[in-house]
Amino acid sequence: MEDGSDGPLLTLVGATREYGDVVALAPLDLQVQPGECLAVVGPNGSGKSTLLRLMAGREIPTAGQVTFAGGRIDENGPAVRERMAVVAGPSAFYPDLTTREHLEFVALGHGLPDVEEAVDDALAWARLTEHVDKFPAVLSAGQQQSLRLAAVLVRPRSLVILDEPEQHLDPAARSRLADLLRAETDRGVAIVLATHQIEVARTAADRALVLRDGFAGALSRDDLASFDGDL
Amino acid sequence: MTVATVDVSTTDVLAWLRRTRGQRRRKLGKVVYGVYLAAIIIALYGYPVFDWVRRTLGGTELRADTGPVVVRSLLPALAGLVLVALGVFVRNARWRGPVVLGAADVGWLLPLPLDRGRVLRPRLFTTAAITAIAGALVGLLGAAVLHALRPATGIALVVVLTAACSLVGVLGVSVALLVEASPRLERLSQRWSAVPLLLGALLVVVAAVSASTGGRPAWIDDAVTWSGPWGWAAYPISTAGRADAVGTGALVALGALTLLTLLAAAAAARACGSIPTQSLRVRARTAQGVGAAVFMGDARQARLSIRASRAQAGRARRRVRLPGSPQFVVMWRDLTGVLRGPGQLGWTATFAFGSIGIIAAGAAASTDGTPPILLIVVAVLLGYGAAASLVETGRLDGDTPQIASQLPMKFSGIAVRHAVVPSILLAVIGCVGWALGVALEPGLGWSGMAVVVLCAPPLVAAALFNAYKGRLPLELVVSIGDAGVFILAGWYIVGPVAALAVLTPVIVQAFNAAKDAAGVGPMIADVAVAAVATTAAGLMAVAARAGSRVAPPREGGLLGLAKKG
Repeated sequence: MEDGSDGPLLTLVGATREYGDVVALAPLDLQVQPGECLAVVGPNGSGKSTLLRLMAGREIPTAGQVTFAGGRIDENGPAVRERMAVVAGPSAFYPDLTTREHLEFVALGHGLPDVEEAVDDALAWARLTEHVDKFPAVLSAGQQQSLRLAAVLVRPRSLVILDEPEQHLDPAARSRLADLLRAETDRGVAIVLATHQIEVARTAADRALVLRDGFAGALSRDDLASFDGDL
Repeated sequence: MTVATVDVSTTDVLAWLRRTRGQRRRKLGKVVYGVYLAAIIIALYGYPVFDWVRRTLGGTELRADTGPVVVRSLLPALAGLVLVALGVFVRNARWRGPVVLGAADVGWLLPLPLDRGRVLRPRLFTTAAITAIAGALVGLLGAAVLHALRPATGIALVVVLTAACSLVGVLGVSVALLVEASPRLERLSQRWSAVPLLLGALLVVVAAVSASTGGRPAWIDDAVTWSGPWGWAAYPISTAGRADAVGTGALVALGALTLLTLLAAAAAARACGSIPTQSLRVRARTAQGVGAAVFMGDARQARLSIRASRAQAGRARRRVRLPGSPQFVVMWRDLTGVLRGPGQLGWTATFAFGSIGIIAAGAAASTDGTPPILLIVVAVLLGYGAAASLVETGRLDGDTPQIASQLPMKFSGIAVRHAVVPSILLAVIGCVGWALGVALEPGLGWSGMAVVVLCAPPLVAAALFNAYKGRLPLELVVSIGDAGVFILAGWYIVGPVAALAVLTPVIVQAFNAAKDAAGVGPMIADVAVAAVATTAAGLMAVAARAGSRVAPPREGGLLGLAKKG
């Protein structure tokens, strides 16, 4: 989905996050352009999820600032909600809504013109067509993750933030995910993707940010191809 | 590939485990400590309660005038309570069951090639024994009440009643085990377990009505008595007052109950070995979660743990049609929630009818037509309960804001929208309740229906305010020292207290205004103004609270612990 503006979609200027004496993210300057896929890689505890939470507006930087489409990030604000899709943190589902109804809830809430068609397409992508009337609690972990990702497809978006989207997915679903990420960036959607899988980063990302103990280093697509660091 | 046959002595393994873990010694210590605690509690609180019951019920007036009528009504009442108790056993079997293993036993003991029946049976027997003792104590208490009502009651009835209650406990545990061991029975119980509860409640109502009207047809007693174990257990009570014996009928009933209990216990002991591992695993996890939540005083989390263990299997057959506009998405979601959990409507109706019944009874009994303030307080609390039963979807959003956060609306706006459907439903159910009240007591008048409708939105706003409190913050429990219990209580009761503070004066004022010569028109106008004002204030508070649930944290995580990605 086109953003419609010329500048960067997401901008971090000296963004820092500290918890007491612990530096979770050292000052970071970063820009994410429309149609770009940025991978965030690094070992456990390196600050990936902290960075994603700052980008999604779920946390406020202790120093510096984060802006989305030129405005201050406010996760609670409709402007961010209308254009930013986030799949991060532990999965959560309504116990009394079916697989299909979860997608209808999101599609309807975003006012999609043809909810049924959008939901059918997303269910087909997630290979959940056989499970439309089931409740998420009885789906497998991989199916639940597919459902979360499918929810991104039934809403408008100019930035998608994904925290380890490949989790629980089988190889076929990972391959579909990689295809989806490429298709999204081709449509002008920006993607920020935290992952432990260097293959996922190589396949989908234009560049990468390597985090280690809160400090970041940049990798180009060519660097990524030869990168063999410990993730 | 050949599989080696194993010849493992289950008894030896269990004995080794007990020895190594020092389990027997610890268990014995726990039992001794438990008995000591029980004795202290019974000595301190039991006897005074027992004595109070004897003195309260032993008044001459009760024995001479109403005693026989009350005693007679005890048959359906006790049968109903036994039915409810059996229903509760079955319901609890779906998440806990009489046999619960610890997580370590599930992970280490169950995978061994042992005779599972011998591993699990001692747990079944322990649960059955404890329940039998508890049943016997309840039976003794019942016998004490009977003795107070009918001093001529002989010792034989005390024995029979105690035995019957004890047998009901064992029967309940046995049936629960069969449910735990059989996925098919578990599915059936999921569908039908509300039936014994409803029938039990119906029998209690029959008892209350017959106590107030002075009698009922004899065939009802016969039907109740011989309809099943609940009737057999209750039958001896109908012989209260006889000094000689309990009668052949009661002995036959007790014999039937004994036989059925023995059969059920034998079936349960046999089924112990076939409890599916998955069933034990889920129950161990749930019991652990519920135990932790109860220890923390977090009732909501305990309820969520039980709900998670009853993940809705199967498929949804009915759906609410999608609305045409995104503005109605929250209402659609709320209606879908009611469709999937129709029990919410049942609880709402129960609370709402109770609330209206109390107001009506209080108004009818008072000389000036205004119920006593205490009854109004109880009625408002029941009304709050009715509203709270309808805001489950809002409560789910308060628990896990990340789902609704996917909508392009402010979280606070979503919270406020959650008030619409419950307010309408509560108003409709309230109207039905009031109409029933007017049908039974025409003096109530139809103008009160307007007050009922106007009270629905403020009650829902108060319930939503409580619903959005989210999960109990750990800081609240661990960092507040001696004041913890009060802060914890405040955490839970802020909603009902808000409803009381707002609606009690409104209702009192409504009753006072209705007596004025000006008529009901100005009264309804006053109530409407108050309802609109309090609803608006309540929803603003809901919005503020919901907004704070999703506000990004500025400082470090819980108790200053570092949180890193």
